[in-house]
Amino acid sequence: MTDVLERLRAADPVPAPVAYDDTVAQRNIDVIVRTDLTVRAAGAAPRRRHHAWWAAAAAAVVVVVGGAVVGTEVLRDAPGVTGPSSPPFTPSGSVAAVPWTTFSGRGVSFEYSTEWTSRPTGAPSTMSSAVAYLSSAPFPPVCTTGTAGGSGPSVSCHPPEPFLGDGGVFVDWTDDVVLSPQPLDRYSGTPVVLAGFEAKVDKTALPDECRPTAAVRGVLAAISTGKGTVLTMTACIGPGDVDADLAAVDRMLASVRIDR
Amino acid sequence: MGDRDETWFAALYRAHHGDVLRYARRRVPGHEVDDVVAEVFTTAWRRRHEVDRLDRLWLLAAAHHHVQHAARSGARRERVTAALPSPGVVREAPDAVLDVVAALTRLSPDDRELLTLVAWEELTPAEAAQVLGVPAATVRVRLLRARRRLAALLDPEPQATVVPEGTS
Repeated sequence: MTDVLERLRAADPVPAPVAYDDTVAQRNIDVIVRTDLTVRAAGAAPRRRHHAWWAAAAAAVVVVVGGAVVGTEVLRDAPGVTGPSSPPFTPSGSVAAVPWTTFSGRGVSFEYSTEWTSRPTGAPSTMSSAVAYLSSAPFPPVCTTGTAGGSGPSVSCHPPEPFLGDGGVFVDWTDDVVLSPQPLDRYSGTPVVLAGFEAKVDKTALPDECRPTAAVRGVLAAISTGKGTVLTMTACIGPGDVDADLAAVDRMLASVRIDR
Repeated sequence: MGDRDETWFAALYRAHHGDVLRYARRRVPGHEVDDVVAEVFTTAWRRRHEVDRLDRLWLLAAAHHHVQHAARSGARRERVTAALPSPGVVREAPDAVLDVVAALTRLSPDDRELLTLVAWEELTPAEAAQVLGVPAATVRVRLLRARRRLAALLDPEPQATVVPEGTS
């Protein structure tokens, strides 16, 4: 076993340092810095602005087209920009007659069943920020402590994925940083419009995030809210009255409002 | 955190662009490599005032997160390993390399990521732990097991150790 890592090193598909072109590097640095400054300015101005995220050639290319970074206000004021050919999201099924309440935070609000409880979210990570966790099942502990080699205690936290083996729902609303010309291309599902924004909803796949919960069904919604951010909703549904839980998730999705 | 201005960002980019690019090239198809690199550095720029220690490990963690996220998003789940050299792509490579590639693709994604972080990114277990966001002690255990699993795939029927008589 001692030479396993050596054998692995020998199979490195990129063994040599990548050729470096400083002109290309400087162009990419400029694109990232300037575009971000421009996007911030656009976000503050409620008028339509398009920004060219342009490309550099060779090994390091940044290609982001203006449509992906149009300010939020612009998207709300001009529905045609958000999803010219996508139908509005339509919830299906009937929901159990229980009271509903409203979540509001991080510029997002939606209704959810009082049979579910919400859990506070932690600090944002590098590429995503949890917005809300909801579940009909008890939340497990999310953080474990350990000792990072020589640097003192460390804390590792994970989404509070409950075990849904006995039925129920776990919902994770998260903001993801996705900077590309067509951010929704990264997501599967049917194109729809949610809260006035272009979105996709996939009820056919069981997201990996649902696997620890022993869910039998899943719903993944991705809403492109502009500024390089995609608001995602992952719902994991355990065995039991799956249709009723799917209907409850649909109602929650249909109620979402985004104010950023 | 000091003045994290454009000059600082340019230095960060120049110092670590190659590391992030190689990380991406090893793990995603060629046409997605530039997206990964661009998103990692754009995120670094945007969060430069929020992150205390913004260094190579943070950038690799961001790249890891981005690639994992792409995998979770469903449609691209199968593409994450597409950058691994397949036997067809590296048919000119020595048999030993083909064996390792074949074995690597049979490991779980977690095992594969940990082993390649150590072997290809040349991270220590403690550094890999930072990238993966798990305790170093956990990584050491996982690494040991992953190495065993890879070794078992590479040599499924290891030769029995012959102990000369009188030496035990």
